[in-house]
Amino acid sequence: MGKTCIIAGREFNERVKKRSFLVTTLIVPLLYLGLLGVSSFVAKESAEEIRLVTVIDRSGIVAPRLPSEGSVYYLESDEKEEKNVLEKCGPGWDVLVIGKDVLSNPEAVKLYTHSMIPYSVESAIARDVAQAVETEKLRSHQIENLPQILEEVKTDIRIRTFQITPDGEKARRPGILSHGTAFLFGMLMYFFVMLYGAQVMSGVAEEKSNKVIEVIVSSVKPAQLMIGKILGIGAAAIVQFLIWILFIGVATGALLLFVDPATLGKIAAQNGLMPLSTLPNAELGELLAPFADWDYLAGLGIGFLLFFVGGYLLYAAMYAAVGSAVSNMQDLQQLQLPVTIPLIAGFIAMIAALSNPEGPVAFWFGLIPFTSPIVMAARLPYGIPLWEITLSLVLLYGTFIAMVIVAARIYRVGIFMQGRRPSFAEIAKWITYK
Amino acid sequence: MSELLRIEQICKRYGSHTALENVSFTVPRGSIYGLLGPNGAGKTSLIRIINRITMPDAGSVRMDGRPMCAEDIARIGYLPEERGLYKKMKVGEQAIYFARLKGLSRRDATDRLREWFDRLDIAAWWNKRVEELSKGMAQKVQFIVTVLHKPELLIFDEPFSGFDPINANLLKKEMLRLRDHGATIIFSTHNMASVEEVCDHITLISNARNILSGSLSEVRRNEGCNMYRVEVEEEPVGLFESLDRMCRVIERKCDGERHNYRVEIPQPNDVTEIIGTLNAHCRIRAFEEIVPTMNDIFLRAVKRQQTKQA
Repeated sequence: MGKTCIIAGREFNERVKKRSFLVTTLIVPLLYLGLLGVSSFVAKESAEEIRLVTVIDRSGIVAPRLPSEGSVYYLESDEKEEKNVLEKCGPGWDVLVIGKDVLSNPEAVKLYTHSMIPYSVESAIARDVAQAVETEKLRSHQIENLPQILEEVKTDIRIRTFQITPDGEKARRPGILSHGTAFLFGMLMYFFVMLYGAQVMSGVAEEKSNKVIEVIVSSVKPAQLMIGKILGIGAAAIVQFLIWILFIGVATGALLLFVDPATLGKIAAQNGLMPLSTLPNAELGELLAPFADWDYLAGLGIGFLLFFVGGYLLYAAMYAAVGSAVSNMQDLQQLQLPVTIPLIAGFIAMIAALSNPEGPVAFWFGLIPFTSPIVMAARLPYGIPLWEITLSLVLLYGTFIAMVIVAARIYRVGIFMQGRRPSFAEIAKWITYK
Repeated sequence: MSELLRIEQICKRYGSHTALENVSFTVPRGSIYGLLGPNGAGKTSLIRIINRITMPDAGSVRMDGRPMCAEDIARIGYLPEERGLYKKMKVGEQAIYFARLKGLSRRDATDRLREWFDRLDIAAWWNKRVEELSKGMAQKVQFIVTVLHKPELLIFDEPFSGFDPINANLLKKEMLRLRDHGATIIFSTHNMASVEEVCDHITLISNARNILSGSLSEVRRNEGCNMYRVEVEEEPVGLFESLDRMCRVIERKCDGERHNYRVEIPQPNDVTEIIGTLNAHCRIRAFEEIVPTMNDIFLRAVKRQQTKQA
């Protein structure tokens, strides 16, 4: 055990001291911060920009009903000839032309712009014009007290989602946000396992090719060397992960404290979480609440870490076996297929599980040890029954132990094999060598 | 001298290739044991078996008279033929790492390393990365790593390859010093001159078999071919003929005053008689046995085996 620790210590130190480790450790939170910064800047900028529109209203019914506040400022023009208006008004003004027959012909609306117009502004103008036309149409029915009726009729339905947990407690689950987090978690797991697993593989292959292995094996058992290597690199991965969590946690906390919910909504909109942008501020705050709920966050963090450790250990053992079997780097690609295929399968299953986190794909691939780390990472934010998590973890760690035994047997033979790339059949035979 | 290591009937096959076939020999404690043989003879295979890196198909390795076990590895220092160091790691740190794997504490390792680095004159490299060193330099580092934990048995696979004559000399000196401090050394080599200088015992492996074993002097005596060099000042008439009657003259050379003969005397007992006869007729300037060099012995033994097999 002592020697395994010495080996793990070296692997850890060598990796943590590398400049590339420092760079990736810093660059991910910086990227995250940069993304947030750019998002909030863009959200703020676009919020302040007001579009100026000159309206030529030949129908005489739209212009008076256009709203006087909002991101578009409408000004009705006295001149009704398009050509003259276009000549007269400067590049700061767009020109909106409403046809005479706009009531019967919805296509009788034209918009001239000097610059690219964002889709959101275009749809805002269309909405305003449509509303004006609808109001006029309703008015033509001669209904008394129409404005009051319209005001009364206005309804806004918003669904509040509750999840019934076995102990009867009802917790509010943020649908859209968990979706985002889930995807992020699944991706992170996939890349982390692949990145660090591949480091184990190339580390083993390097020791083999530069013959360090012969010196070490004269002092320690091959299995000790393999396990030490896996543990050392895994420790480096966890340190990096914790630094990221710390950075991102602090950054997000600061964001929630210092940025007002309206801007947050805009950021969410910019990042593809469209429906959030239409929510009033109070709702948004409530929606984000689980992310300030420490129990929920701690559960997520611990769950992710447990699955990461299990997934990493399992794949690292497989990668170590592959690394031991190759004598040159070109053979690496082909030999690592049996490792990459289940990993990619896990990724695909994770995408499928995202759309239905409780479905059969999510359930079964969440239990199969080779795909479970990635799938479960993505399912964690939705909240899964504890027994499922426990069963999945037990299967994962059990498979890891079996895998380490098999991998160590391959490794022990592989590290001394030179020359030609062994076939999978040959590698399978190594497992039973005495 | 008691025995430290006994190799018994070792066989090793890789697929259809036979690497070792019934190889046996005994390494006495406190000796320097040379393991000789042409390329591909099976030396490295044997060394790996002694180091328990691979297991023999048949036969056994005994240490102190009992079968060798995994714990015995700690008593061995092994310098592999192809040197292995982490290229990116600093020299001192790396040496400490390997020493700790051998069971030394960090402090002990550092103290001993400082001493060795000073002795081999490489203290200035402590903080350099291995990739910055020349091959010879890296080899010195590797040598220190091998001997640092003061193992009873040292195994060097081709220790002289890559060393210039100065460093090779230094290495020989260190090997002799280690032996004098009680270590037993097994080393494989192609460098026959170094065998003559440092070896006490040798085993010659060729084509997977042990074809010659024994102490250096014994081997040389046994492999001696009863050749003598005779030099006389002048050659009286009839001397050559009488000499040729007593033994077989292989070569006769005359260089002014000096007459040289290379003769074969199959019966060692005849030597006294021949000297007496010569002494009666002329003045003898030299009469010596031509001891074969290790190089000759090596070449002859390998050739003998090849003709036997053919």
